[in-house]
Amino acid sequence: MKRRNFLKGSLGTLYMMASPNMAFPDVKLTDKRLLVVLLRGGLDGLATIPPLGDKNLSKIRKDVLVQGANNLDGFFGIHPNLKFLESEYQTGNAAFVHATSFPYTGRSHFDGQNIMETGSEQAYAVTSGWVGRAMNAAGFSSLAVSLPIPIILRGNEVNSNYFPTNFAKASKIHYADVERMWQSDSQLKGMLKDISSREMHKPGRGDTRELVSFAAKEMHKPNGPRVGLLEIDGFDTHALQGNEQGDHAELLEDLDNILNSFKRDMGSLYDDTVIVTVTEFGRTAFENGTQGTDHGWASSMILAGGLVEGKQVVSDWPGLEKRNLFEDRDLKMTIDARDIYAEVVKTVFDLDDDVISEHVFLGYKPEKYHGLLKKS
Amino acid sequence: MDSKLASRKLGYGFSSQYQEIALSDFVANAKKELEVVPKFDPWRLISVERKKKRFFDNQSKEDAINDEKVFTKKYKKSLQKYLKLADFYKSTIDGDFGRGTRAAISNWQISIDKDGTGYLTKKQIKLLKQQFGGYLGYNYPKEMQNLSTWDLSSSDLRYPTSVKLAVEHRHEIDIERERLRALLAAGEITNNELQRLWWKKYNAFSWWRDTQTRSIDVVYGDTPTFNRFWHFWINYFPINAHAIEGELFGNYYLTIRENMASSFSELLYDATRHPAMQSFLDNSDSTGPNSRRARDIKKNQEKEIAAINENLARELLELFTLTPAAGYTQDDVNGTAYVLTGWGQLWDDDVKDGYFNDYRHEPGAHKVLGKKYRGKPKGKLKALCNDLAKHPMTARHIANKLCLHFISDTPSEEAIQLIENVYNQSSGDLIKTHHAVVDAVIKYGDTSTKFLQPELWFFNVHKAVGGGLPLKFLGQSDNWGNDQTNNILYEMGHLNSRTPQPNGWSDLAVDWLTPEMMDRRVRYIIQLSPKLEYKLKFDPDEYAINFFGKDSAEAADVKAAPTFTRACLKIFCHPKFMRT
Repeated sequence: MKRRNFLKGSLGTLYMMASPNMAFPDVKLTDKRLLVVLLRGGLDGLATIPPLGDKNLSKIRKDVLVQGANNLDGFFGIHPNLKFLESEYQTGNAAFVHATSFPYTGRSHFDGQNIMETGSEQAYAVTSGWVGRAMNAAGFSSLAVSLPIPIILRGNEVNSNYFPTNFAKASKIHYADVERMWQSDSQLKGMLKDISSREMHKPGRGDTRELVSFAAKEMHKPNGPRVGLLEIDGFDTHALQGNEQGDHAELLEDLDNILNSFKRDMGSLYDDTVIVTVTEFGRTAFENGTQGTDHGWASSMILAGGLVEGKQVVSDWPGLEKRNLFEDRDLKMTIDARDIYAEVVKTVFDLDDDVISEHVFLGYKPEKYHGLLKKS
Repeated sequence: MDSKLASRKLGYGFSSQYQEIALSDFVANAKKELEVVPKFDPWRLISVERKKKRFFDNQSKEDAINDEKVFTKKYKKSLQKYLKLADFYKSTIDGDFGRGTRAAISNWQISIDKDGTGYLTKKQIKLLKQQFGGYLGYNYPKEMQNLSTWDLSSSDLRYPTSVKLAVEHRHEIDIERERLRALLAAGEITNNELQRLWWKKYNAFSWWRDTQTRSIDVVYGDTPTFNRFWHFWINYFPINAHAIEGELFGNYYLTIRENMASSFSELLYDATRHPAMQSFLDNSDSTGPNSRRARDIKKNQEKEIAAINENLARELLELFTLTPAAGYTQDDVNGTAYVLTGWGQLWDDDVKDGYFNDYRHEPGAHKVLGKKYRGKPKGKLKALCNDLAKHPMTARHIANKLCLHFISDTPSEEAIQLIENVYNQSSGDLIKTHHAVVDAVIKYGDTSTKFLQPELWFFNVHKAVGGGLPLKFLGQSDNWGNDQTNNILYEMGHLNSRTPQPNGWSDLAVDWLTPEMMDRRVRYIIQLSPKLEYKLKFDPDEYAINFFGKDSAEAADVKAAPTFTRACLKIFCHPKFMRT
């Protein structure tokens, strides 16, 4: 039976938040914008930012080995489909971190995603997310551009979301009826407050590119959101992952195009923007039996935008020799991803180290900052 | 708790006509429903709602008699065959139109609202062929032809009752697609014509059909409690239309259904080895390092690496049975993956119902949780499923999931234990476990509430208004407007065939309570209410009295609503209706 190319065309979802709106009249107005990109499924860092200088790479990978990666710094290369990110790197607007992850080695998607979203060291230990808590600490409310609101955004007081629909419009009278019924309900109260006064957008089904340009448009508004969250599924490439071509390559190309159009739509605001990726884990260093890779540990991270101190790949490379791999199979984590996110949160929300440690990462104190963001 | 609330917690609610019964009777009925797997036959339910299709026919009986004189024996035999498939003709196919055939023709004519003359007109023959001539041997929904809203004369909605049929069907679709592509490449048709020809015949995705038929069975059928449990297990073993051959969907759902009166270990075994699940979690090509396939790779110096793919193995332990709290190791995942090698083999030209081929299977014994699984490959998986089903962590996990779905987002320990104990004592007997859930809902449901997931809310609405389910399948692309069950569920964020991840849809209110999702419910009622008013003649006042109580403030509020739409909103968007 021929396998269908199912990873193709996976839908992205976009969330936006941190609009300094009426809920917080005394809010500090930051001019900075943040786009968090959740790469669900576990990004294969070794195919995205391949360590060309590690001679073991071509020994342990065959079909999934990426040919034609472009050299970044003499040791690391970049997947040929990440053309926009490569040019951003060369002009100093993008940087990468490698062999980074959360300190979680259990290889479960669901525990892993819970940890990457809550920022806790234990899965299901808290119900709020680290981005949500960072916004809360900075005094922002939120707007998510999607149907569900993911855990990473939860934890601040006002959560709202938006996603295009084909359903007929409702009138203010109808909303008023419903709001009255929901007034004394703790879960439903105030739920439609933003929606009922929102200008109507054209109907649609949520094409990722459309969502990103919507996000950029909203981010331009004086009271618009300061933070967007884009979610892309499909990185769980267990089978027929491909190399410089194929499923994974197409996902990266999509991601590259999306970020490119985001930059275009952001215009001059892009100078005050950080884009950062989050994924639950990397993938096995070795290729598996179905021309894919299984769940691993460390991966690579992408940072882009005018606020990024670009043209650098930050890494303490652990090596791909079997003895250097975690349990003989996974790339080891040598940089805790929380260190990078702490730096991002500090820059965008202007939070103190103590606040970040206590509220955002629940007691974890970043070891050090890596100078990935420009000093303001 | 009264039977109304019970019917909402253990079913999809009730309509205006519902008469309350004693709770003990409700419980007895619900338990009885769970004891046998009812036949899945949604088609019989559609014709109840819709008027029969009319068609223009002016040929007289005399003309029909004249026409028949030149029919060959072979042709007459084929007509008898169609009449037999239509369940009107019972005797032998002999090409001889005697009394039995005449009666069959006459009765069939009456069934389509025509005069029972006993002689078929040209149009009637055409209709008979369309209905029963094209898809011999399939579970083809013959009643669907009678629907005024569906022109299915050349569409393809066969239900794959077996994997073999699903594969053959897919094969046929592939051939048609290639044929049309070739015509396009040769410049014989334009792209527009290609689209038109394609959608004319295959005008529904198979998983749309599956959503539609399941919805019909839920809203019009008479086994709501069974269906609620069916829905639970579909979501317990979720698959996603993105990842698998769509044609496998229907059969996968039916396979789960067929196992619901057996044991969890049977269900686990059948769901895990089903080609839909095998394909969804990439197990089909997983290769044992000492398998024959591995030897061939080495011998032929192929580029492929002879190794396992652990995706399904990991989820089998994590999501379907033990959960990570059980503390299994990577070696246990690997051992499970070895057991699973060789399954999910499904080839167009060689469809075996076992879906197993030992070419990729890892020979020998494999260790999982300290126990070695050895012997015949099928036996290894069966034994592993048995052991995993028996594991106390599995019992705990299933009991917890059932409580989260049926009772509360934060179920009490007593409720979980009630189900867990029955599961353990009965070795995972599903009838007994389901009965325990019914008991637990009655016992603990009074002090807990569940916020309805979008799909459940949608079905509750349609159950309340006595039907009105959109029955359209027609369209030009996969973006076919709103009057379509699949699209509505998609817009509400809960289209079952689009489960985002292998852990299924969430049972927790916090994952559904977002402004945008709540807004969709308001908008849906506004969109639906004109149809309720003019087509279904739904009476909100009557329903409000039945639902909220005769002298309740809510019923008075509904009665005071200045428009029909606002009366509907005051029912279906009321917090009491949105929770059970």
